[in-house]
Amino acid sequence: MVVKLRLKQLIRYAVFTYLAVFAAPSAYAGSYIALAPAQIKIKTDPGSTKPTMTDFRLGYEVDEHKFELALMSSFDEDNLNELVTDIPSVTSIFYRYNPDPRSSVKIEFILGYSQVEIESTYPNVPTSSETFEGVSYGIGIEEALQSIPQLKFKIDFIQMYKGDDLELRLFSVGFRYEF
Amino acid sequence: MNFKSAYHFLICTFMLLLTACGDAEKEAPLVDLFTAASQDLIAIDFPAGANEDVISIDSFFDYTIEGLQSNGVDYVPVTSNIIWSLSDGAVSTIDASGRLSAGSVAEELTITASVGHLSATFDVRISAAKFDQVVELNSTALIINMCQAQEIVPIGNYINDDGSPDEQRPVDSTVINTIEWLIRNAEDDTPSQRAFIKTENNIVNFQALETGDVIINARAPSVSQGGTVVTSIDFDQTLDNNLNSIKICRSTDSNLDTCTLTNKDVVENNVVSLVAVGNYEQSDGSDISQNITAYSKWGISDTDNASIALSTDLQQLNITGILEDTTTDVSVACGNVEQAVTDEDIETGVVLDIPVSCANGNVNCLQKSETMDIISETPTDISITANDLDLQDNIARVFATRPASIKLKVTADFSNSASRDVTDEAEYDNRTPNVVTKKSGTDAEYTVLDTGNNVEIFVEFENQNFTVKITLPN
Repeated sequence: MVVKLRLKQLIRYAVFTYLAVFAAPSAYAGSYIALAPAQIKIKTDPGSTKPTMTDFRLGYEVDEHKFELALMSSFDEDNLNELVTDIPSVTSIFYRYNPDPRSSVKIEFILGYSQVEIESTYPNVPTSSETFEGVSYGIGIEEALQSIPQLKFKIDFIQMYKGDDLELRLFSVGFRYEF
Repeated sequence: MNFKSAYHFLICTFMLLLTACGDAEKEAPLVDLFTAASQDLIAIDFPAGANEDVISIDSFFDYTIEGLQSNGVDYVPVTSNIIWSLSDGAVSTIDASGRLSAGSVAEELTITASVGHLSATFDVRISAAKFDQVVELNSTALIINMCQAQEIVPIGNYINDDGSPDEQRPVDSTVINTIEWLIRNAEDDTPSQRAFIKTENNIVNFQALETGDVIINARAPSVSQGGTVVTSIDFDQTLDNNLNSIKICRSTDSNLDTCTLTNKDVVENNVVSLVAVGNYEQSDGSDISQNITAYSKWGISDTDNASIALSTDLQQLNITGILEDTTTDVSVACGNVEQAVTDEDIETGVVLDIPVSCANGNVNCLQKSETMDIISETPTDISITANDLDLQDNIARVFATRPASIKLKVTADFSNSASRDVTDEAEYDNRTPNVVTKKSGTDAEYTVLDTGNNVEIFVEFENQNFTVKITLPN
């Protein structure tokens, strides 16, 4: 029942997002940036790799809602035997909903859209690059530092892309700073 | 449309979005690379000699591929993530395991095996030629020593009805299981126990048990002659010796060259697995140690003290201790032993209830015997339940209701980490006969009387003691 209510709330808020942002009086509104090392698991049935990224976010927060632009660039490639995989860039937009803004540890539901570019090299095969696009969803957890309340420690788990034979899962741990 | 309908519509749309955004075509090249990389393959091929390029109609053959690893040197069998396909228009079929089932018509086709982005092809002709008889024992000359086994590929003659030339090729799956193998001693033409040929899962295994010359015939129904059983020509085969020594080791010994049987203890009611190791001289002068358990002859001196049996795969001999503080001699021999061996023994593995031995001066037989000590189990602890409730030693367990009877179960833990039910073997001293009485004919079941509340029974099993205490309500 709780889940159903939260989904219902999520749908309501998604539909009336702009009204909520621009028309309703709010207790808090402001922009923020976030920086985190991130790892994207490229998962297939036969095997997987985990290239690492630098995850930069630019966002705007209104009460329990956040809107984010995520830009990620490659930090390190990963390989499975002789298969070398790298993710040169990721571009995403996320909507984050926090059902309980007053809690010290905030849990947020994330919904968005992502473009993930994957580059692969393998012996006797030309280097190839492919971009995968799709709906992304996940969960985020964050807690403010007591000494600097504007600075939050955050963790994100996001399913960036789910295809028939391929899944891209993001795990990032970093900081968010509210202006 | 009310809000509830709109809500359901949005939920469904959302779920559809989540599940419908995959693009399999776009993913395929990357997934293919992962498939090949997960097995570290950079090329695949059909290994020469392991695959048939001609098979008969209405038969089948299991095709295999191997892969070249990324170091560019090593080839490994590839068994997973293979996609098999046949050329367009083929009547025959191939399944996911690579089994080609030939149709009822002659045809030529190409098998394609794909592993990720790698692929290999193999041309196959489905032939309507009919099997006549076996014309060769093996595709190559067979060199084998006693107590060794080798897979053989019998060659058959296949006759074409249309007058085209006969084909000589490995006997196919529909025929190979119908062959009856006859083996005689070359010197006197008597039935021989020197060798045995076993066909399992379409694989023919030639097992040499002794040294000497044998004559082999293959008898099988000839398809070209309407099913008439045809006996092949004589195939002369020599079974070499080349056995330097034989010894007994534990099956857990990993180095067959250096292993020795130092620990000869067999715990009562427990199993120890042994192997026979033969050391052979090779043609280049070097020697090699092999597990020859399956093709050796085993015997035991005292079956009251221990029993022996070959494992299901015949790769080890299991000895079970029966009577503690006794010994038994386990013997093994390779070659023609003095004891009588039945054909059934030869087929299933020779394990006799008497010691096996080689006659004095018989150079074509080697033997080894080891005396095994049957030792007692050493219990380290016992635990007891009463009516399936766990009890603690000397601490009263309070029953919520007064049962009509109490049934004890005693379990012992042993020093070799084994544990078993010893209820029947433990001894019991009922110290509260006014509360419970032992049921006749049982060791550990007591009738609860109408009076008294505190039950105390002293239990002993091989110096392990336990005081059962139970408090019963009125």
